[in-house]
Amino acid sequence: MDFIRSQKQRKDYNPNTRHCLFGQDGDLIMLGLATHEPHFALLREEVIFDQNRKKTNLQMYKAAQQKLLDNETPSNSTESMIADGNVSSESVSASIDSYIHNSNFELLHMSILRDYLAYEFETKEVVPKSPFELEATIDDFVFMTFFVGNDFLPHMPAIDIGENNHLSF
Amino acid sequence: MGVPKFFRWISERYPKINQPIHAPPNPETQKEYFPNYKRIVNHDSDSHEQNHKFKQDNKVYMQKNSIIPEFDRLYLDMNGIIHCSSHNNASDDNATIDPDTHIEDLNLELGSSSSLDAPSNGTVNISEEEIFRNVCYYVDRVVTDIVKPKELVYMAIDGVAPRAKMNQQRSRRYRSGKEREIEKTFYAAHLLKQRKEQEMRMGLQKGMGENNDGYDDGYDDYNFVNMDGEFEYNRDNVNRSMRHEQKSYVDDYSAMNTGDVKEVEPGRFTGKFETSGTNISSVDDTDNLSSTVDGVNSKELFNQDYDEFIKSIEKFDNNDQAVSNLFHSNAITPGTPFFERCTEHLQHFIKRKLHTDPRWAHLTIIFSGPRTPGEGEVSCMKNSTSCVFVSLKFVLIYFIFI
Repeated sequence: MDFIRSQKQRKDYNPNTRHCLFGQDGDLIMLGLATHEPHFALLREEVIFDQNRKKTNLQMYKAAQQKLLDNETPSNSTESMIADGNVSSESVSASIDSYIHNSNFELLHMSILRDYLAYEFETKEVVPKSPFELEATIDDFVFMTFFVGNDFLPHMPAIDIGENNHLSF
Repeated sequence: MGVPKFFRWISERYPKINQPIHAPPNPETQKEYFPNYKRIVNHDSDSHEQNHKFKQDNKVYMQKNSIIPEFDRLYLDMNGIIHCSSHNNASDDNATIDPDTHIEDLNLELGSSSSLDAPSNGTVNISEEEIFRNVCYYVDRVVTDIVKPKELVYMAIDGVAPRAKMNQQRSRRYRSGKEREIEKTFYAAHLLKQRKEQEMRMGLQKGMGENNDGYDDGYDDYNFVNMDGEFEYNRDNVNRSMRHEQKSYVDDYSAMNTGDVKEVEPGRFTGKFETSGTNISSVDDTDNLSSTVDGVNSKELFNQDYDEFIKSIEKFDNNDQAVSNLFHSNAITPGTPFFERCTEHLQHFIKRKLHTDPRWAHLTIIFSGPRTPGEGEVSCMKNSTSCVFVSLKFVLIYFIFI
């Protein structure tokens, strides 16, 4: 982030640079918003919220792998797989495998999120004369959100993301 | 911590921000790293019937949406990648969600010997070469196959965390070690109970057998033999599996000499126990961690540990496989020998890629290692290969791995 900020200070910086940030953390959404870049996207692996689906996916992967193994001539395949470090009945290696060969990703478009926030917090229709600035609002949003999910601040009992109390902010 | 929850919340509230991308591994890239890997081609469509329809819909949707916009710059959080390609992150997730279902499972599968998952102590049996290969493969995939940035790739590895974060990290890691120990104790108690039950049942059956003998009936006799034979077989099975993994837990358990914990009924334990604290520190890198993270990070200490590690690798060559293949996720912290080697390997990887791979040739790579944290400004060194290795004097965002 510091790199991006320092780049933005440069005079020859192209404001239309398209950024892509790869990472799984939720904070990255906030940090991406905080850059105020118009073209910013966050690439992450597909997250499956449903634990059961997650499990079946992993099982399917294992089964497919097993099938492959069975189709091979036994001696040959096991040797080559051991050389690759891929053969193992442990779930650990299967999950690592399914991670690195994973084919489903998600691209989180920060620009769309910015539009959403603009609609969400737009006040002109209610109070016609009220000043509204998107960038400042986004900063506020980021600031407020860090109250909810921050390791270094004591947890607020009334506010929990899971319970949608987040909105009460 | 609510970061996964936060993502969930935001993607449920603002559903359109997520664009699913279907990017199966490019066979060429895959071949480079896994020459012998048998591709699971139709892992998506080769599916369970119950999931079939969903998969079908999903796939169509994905194909429609899988045009990725162009990007100029790509920033990579290397720590996340290293974590995921070295050990199983999912177990951590499950641990936070599953405590209740765990016990339900236990109740359901009373008889089977695997009703409780054997607790891992955070170590994974994986060699460093494998980890490095996985990481490089993954980075290559993201850069050349998925995002295809036009100018720049920025790879960031965590520097040393600030004090507050460090305190939190250390207590968390220490506690997770302790908790695993506790879990282990319970698991051992559970196994003991099960073993006792088995023996009791065996005794009971023997007793029944004797009774049957007393009645002295040809049919009964036959039946008894059959039962006994079957039971013997069962016990053999149990023993065999126990010999491999479970026995060690029970042995550890008795070695810890805290035999006070007993399983009253499935999933419920009584008694008190003390943790010995010896189990976590048995991994090389964790030891090292505690010394370096403190800020005592003297070069000598590092070299010493490194020598030790080299020795342990030599040992590995002498068929001491079990010890040195173990990898603990705590090693993914600036200051450990593993991390040092990982950094070197990645630098080498980048250089090699820039020289050999045409898809990388036009890129500027900035690699921010864990070596030089602290605040300041960027000082870039450019060499002829358009590769910029930055000794970053500024702190990156501390990609918080929660």
